[in-house]
Amino acid sequence: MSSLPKNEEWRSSGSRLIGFYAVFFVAWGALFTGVLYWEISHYLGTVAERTLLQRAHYYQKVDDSNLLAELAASEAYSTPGIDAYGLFAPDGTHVAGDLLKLRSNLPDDGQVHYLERGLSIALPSTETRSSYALLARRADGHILILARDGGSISAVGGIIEQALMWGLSLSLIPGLIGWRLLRRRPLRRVKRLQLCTESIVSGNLAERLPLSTRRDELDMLANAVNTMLDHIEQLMHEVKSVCDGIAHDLRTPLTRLRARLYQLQQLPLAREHKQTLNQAFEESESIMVRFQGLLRVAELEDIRRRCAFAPFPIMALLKQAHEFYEPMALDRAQTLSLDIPSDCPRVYGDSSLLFEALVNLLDNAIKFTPQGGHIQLRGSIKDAAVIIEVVDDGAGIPEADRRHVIRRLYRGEGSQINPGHGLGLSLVAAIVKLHGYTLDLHPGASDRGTRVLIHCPMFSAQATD
Amino acid sequence: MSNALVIEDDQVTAEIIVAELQRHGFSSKWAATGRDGLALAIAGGYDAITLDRMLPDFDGLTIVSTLRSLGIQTPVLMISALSDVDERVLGLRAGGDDYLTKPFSAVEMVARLDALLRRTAADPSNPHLSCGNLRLDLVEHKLTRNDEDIQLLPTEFKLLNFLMRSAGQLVTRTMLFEGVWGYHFDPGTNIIDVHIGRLRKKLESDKDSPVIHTIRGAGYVLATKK
Repeated sequence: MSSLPKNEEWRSSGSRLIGFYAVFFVAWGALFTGVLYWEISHYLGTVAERTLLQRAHYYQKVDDSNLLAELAASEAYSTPGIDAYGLFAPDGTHVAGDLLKLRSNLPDDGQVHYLERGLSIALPSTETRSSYALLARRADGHILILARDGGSISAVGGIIEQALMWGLSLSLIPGLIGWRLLRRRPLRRVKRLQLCTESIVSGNLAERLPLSTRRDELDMLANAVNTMLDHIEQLMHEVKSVCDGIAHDLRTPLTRLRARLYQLQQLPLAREHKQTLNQAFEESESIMVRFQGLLRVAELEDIRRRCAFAPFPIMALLKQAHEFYEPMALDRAQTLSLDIPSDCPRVYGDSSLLFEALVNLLDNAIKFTPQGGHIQLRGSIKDAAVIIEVVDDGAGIPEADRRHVIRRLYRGEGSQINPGHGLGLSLVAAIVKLHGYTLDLHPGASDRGTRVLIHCPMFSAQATD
Repeated sequence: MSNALVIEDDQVTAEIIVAELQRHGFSSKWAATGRDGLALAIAGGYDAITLDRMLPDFDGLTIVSTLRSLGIQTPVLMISALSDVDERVLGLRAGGDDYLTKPFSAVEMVARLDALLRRTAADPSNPHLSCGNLRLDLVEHKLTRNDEDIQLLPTEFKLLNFLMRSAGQLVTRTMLFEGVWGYHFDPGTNIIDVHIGRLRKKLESDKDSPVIHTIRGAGYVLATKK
């Protein structure tokens, strides 16, 4: 199963989509206005060029002697500040017109040229502007320059630029606000769904994902998950009722079998018959023990069983478990040491079940540690939690098996020589899970033996649920 | 002769219970339904009742709580096929005196019923127990044998106390675990054997001392030597 890193913050797919859309929209707007600008400026340029050529053509036909009068007369009709002219003597000195200076960068070819820096005009606004200009040399050597201002094109460009800015800001600002909203609200909803699924994973199978009235894609998904949960719950219920049915159906015949064998045992029998009967009785006994164990794990896996939960002092329980098992360790020449702190924190749970878990852990530790071995039962306090440790220096559990040993009926390869029902650790796991504690298996000191850790949160008056 | 009422809907189980009770000197009466059982129990005349937790007509809990509300204090041993661990708590809370889960052993059932009967006869004002040449002081927590002190650990004291209260009677391992340690699960046979073994060693140095016998597959009996 793959899972994403937990600490990274979740992002919204809606905000990503709107981000893409904004970038696309801006790019499209810029392209559109660019084309518009280019088309308009091209058109205006052509108009300016043609007007200049027309004027040049007209003055070409005018005699040099009449030129000054004609220029003054016809240019009076032209738009001031847009159209301009200048007449210069062959040596470049100004003769007439608004244009005061001859520019060297204007080629002497009778063609229209676009000048970026423009020409100086004798007008109050002395700034140089871009312009279209034409230089025509007269027959008498005079130089006539006709010009048309290119500023109108820049003005059009400015207008288009402004339009673009307005358009972008008007669409981007609501877009950004929308992005924030789209980022936060669906994420909040998804977070609620996440909390809900966590609760379901922790065993509250009756819980369902919340649905909104919007009937959107999240609801569609949540609804699908809920349908799935209904189905899973029903299946689990069926499995449980089948198991309960089998258990119930087996209880009565097993009780009868045992009782019949017992009745038989009370009769006067031949020696060899008696022996076989005893064996049969012992077998039925061992079936019963396993069967009871299985039923017990099944019961404990039902998370709702919490009616006997109360706060209790955990260290006293460790002490009792140590007293209970010390004689057995001594019989096997093992040392069972107890290491608990002097203060006595309380944890919330069923002390009887936890004692059962400790009994199973110590029983396993003693069983799987050879004669003369060491077993430690430790209780320690760390960060508002009590940590119970059972450490032995026995055979240990191979790393590959560690996850399996808490399953029902699992037994490692090496443990076949020892008797046991293989239920011990799965029972412990079920008890730990019922309490909401955590169970960890590690190798013991210097990789020998087993170290079992149970992490129990300390009881505080507010933390009861 | 003690008189027992068996309320049990399964005929085979009922026959087994009745046969086993008869072998241990009980005369018993079988009621197959909750209604009959309740009527017989109210009519009285029984020293103990075994009660199935699940009957077709009545819930075992209802029967026992009805009896208690009528002031009938006959000891009730509840027998249940219900797997839930909480059922035990519910059964005892309703007024049952002991609780046994199916499948159970006949030995266990009789031993528990015996214990229930003796419990009604126990004298709480008696500050010491005696068995053979052993004398256990319940106030001073001291064991003496012919005026000689024997040192006991707290667990050993509790064990011996339990065994001496039931001297001459069978005590099963689960009964000991419940009585001495106060827990109701099966701790496995070995560990109780170890504790009994240690206590036995302390008692066996004197040849006239009572002895703890192990009854194979059943439990222990503290018996005086004859």
